[in-house]
Amino acid sequence: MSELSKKAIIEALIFSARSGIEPKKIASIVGLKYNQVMVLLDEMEREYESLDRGVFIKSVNGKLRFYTKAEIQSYVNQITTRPIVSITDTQMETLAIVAIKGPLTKNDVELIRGRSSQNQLLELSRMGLIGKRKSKLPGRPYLYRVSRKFYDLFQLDDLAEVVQGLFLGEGEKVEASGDSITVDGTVQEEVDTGDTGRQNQD
Amino acid sequence: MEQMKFVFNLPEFEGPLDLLLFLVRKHRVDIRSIPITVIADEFMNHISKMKSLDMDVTSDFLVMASTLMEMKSRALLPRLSDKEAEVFDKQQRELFNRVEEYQTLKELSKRFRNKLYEAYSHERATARATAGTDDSADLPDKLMVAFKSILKEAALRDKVYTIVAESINVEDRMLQIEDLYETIELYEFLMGLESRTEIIATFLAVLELLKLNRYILESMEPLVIRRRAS
Repeated sequence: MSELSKKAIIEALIFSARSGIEPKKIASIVGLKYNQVMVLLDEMEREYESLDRGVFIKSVNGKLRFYTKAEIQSYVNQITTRPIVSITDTQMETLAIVAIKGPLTKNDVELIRGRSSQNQLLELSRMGLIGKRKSKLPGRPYLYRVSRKFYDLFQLDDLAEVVQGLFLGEGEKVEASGDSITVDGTVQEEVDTGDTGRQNQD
Repeated sequence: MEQMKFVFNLPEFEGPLDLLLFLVRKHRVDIRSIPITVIADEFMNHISKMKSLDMDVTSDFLVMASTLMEMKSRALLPRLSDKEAEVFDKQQRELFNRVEEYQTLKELSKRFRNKLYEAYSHERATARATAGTDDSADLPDKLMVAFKSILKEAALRDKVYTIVAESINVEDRMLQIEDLYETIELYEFLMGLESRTEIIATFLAVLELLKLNRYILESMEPLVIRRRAS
């Protein structure tokens, strides 16, 4: 009985939090241990999978939110209008670099793409998908990284789900062992470590 | 189909790396197993084709072309020293790495696009909290308190300053406010004004703007109002 009401609270929290809510925060509000919350969330996720529900719980950038199911999109479409963000191929390339390797400078981006990327970066900034800040490097170049809006737009929880099996920056391709390979940090590390990849090629 | 198309016109390439990747893919093998001389020749071939078709050959293509020619010449020459061989090897490795990196990037960017398309079939669902947030009922009181304390301040100041008679009209004030301020922290805003008449006019203007819904109350503590997004 008491468990049921906890779930109700969690549901309400997820629905009403402006930009989603972290499980940790739920735990502190509801007064449960993190693990207990995770168990409840797990149950809830399964419940929402039911055919009687039109929404499901999805984690975006670590924050839990409700999203409508893809199967009913044709209905939902009729009452909501969302601007379609058009991203060109070159912009997408640039965005991918910034997402995976950021924060990095314009120069780093151009080195990877092999051509000028000024316009792409500018346009992406204008769309609010990437942000920049001054670095302490010589010449004080800007460092670019993806913004929260990027995660919102792509509804991404963790870049690892996209990077899976690919390593940018080493010329090395490694098959992913499973779907839950790494947390964000380790990917970033492996991406950054030098150019020793060639020897390991199969 | 693609081959046919290629006979009649050249596909456009994003940059030298894109072209290089295309050339490598035609061989259907890893870039590392194609001799650099072959790649260099094909690249040069392609550039001249582009030129003959009056296509825009940008400087980055030329940079890549000269790099490749340099590498080709190195590859043809008998090696002079170990050190030179090492330099050549490193240069070649770097180029290969870049092409492979670019290939990875293309794949990544495709995945990101798929993610984006996927995201379009989900709409964020939210609910609004019902109680506790609606404190607009207190607004008149809060406004009055703010106004009173400002008036008190102004009364004190009036003893010190000579007030220059100046006609301030509420409508003008409203326009000014709308032009200049996106958010107003009411207390500080009114405190910054000179005379009692000015404060009154400004205060009336703020009230009017709130009434017309052009500004909305953002927070009560401190009292902040924000321009409504048009």
